[in-house]
Order: sequence, then C-alpha cells, then structure tokens
Amino acid sequence: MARDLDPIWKALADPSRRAILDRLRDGPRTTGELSERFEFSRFAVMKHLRVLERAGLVIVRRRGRERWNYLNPVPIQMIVERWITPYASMWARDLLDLKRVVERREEARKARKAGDSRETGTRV
Amino acid sequence: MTAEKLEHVFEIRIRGSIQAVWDEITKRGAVQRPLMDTVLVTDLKPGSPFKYLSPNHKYCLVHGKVLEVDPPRRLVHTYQFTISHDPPSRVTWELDQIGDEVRVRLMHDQFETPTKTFKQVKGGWAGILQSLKLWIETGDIAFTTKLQYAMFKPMMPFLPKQCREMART
Repeated sequence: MARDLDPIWKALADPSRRAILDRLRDGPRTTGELSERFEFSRFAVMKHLRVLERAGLVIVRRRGRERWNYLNPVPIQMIVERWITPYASMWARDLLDLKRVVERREEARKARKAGDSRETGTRV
Repeated sequence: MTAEKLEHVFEIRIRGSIQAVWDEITKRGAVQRPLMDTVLVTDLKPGSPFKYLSPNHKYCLVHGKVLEVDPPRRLVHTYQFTISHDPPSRVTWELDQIGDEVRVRLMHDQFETPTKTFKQVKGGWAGILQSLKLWIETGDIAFTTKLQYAMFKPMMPFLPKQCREMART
C-alpha cells in the first residue's frame, strides 16, 4: 500500500497544487473558476489539475461544457493512516486498557447493585 | 461566482474483483467491518427500506430507501442519520473494474443546505472507503479504526429512542 502513495506525495510537493486543493476544500469548482482565482495561466491550472487527478486527489466530472473539479479526501486519509497509525497504536493500546478497566469496574458495580435489589425484593 | 455545490465525491482504487467489493457493500445479516461495523438490513429492491444497524441489531444508525440496484456496479439509496433531523440525502455507489483494480466512486448529494450531516459525512466516507480497501486487500481493518469502534460501543445505549424504534420496524 505504501507504493500507492508515491503519486500523492509527488502531487502534494508543489505549492501551486496545494493551493488548488485548498481552494477545493470548500466545495467543487469549475476549471474556469480556478484559473480566474490564480495568477497562473489556464494552461498551467489544467496541467496541475491533471497531476492531481492522476494522484486521485481530484475527481473531474463533466456537466455539459463545464469541468467540475472535486477534492477527493481519501488519499490524504491514506497518508494519515500510513503515518499516524504506528504512533497512535502506542497510546491507543493504553487507552483500550483503560477502557477495559473502567468497564470491568462498571460491571462489578452493576452486579453489586443487582444483588442489592434482589435482597430488598426478598425482604418485601 | 457559481453557487456552492453541496455534494461530496470520493474515489478509491482497490485491488480485487468488482464482485468482492459488491458483495461486501451489500452484505446483509452480518457486520460490514469497513462500514463502521454496521449490519445492513434491506431486501435491495427499489422503494424498500435500507438501514444500517448496530452490530447487536438494537440501534438503527442510518436509515433510508433503496432507489436503484444494478449488481455489481451501482447502488443508490437515500440516507438519513437516525440520530438527526436533517432531511434525507442521496448516496450513490459506482463500481468499475479497471484491470486488476476496482474503482470505487461514492457520491453523496441532494443536500439542500449545508446541514450537520453534510459536514459529518465527509470524513466518515473517507475513512470507510480506506477501510474497505484494507478489508478487501488484506482481510483486516486498521487498528485505529477498531479503536474508534470500541470507543463508540459504550455510547450506544445513550442514543435517542428513535434509534431503537427504527431498528425494530
């Protein structure tokens, strides 16, 4: 799975492409709209969009004559997963242990409570 | 300035067969590990209910109606978090076999306003698709995902009563 990430890193290495992704964060934009927002030419925007599309970071859908560009958050999620998981697992294990301790205590408390109510039940 | 488009599109490529991916996303009666450990309840006929229940079948987490089923390529259904009062939106799964990979495209649209659901599903689907890839390719999901499921479990009894009611009907 690590090799799947190569085109994503390459696409993200360029600041203009990261700026385009930032622009798409709030919702899809047409290619025309994107070229208006940026200093660089429409040709340059299209070239960047192609790289982003190949990396799976941008999805293009055509509506009539317009090209709508959507940010695909999945590859970024994959990077997070690839880099965070090994570190997260360390404290995650501690948290799971804590959860088990708390649950065991809670069960013990419930069992005690159930026992109490049965006792009062027999008295009545 | 074009009006904001309130729709999400997600895409992931999974090494495997389209049938394997289809079988997983339409699996019923047992938990779908990648899909937040939910149990899908539906007969997959257009117009029929479509629900994602908790693993113990006690709580309905998402409900909707089947709109379109075209195995193993296309599944369309409406989508509403049972916990919220946001109006229904629409989910479209599109699968395509491209060589030894399956291109999974998921569209979530038909939001009239930027509801809480609209904001919440963005990260949700990204995680689910990533888990689906891991599940099909390796037979397991990430440790952090399992942790997330484990954290959610003790909170289920605190879900509002419509989640219980919707699970029964």
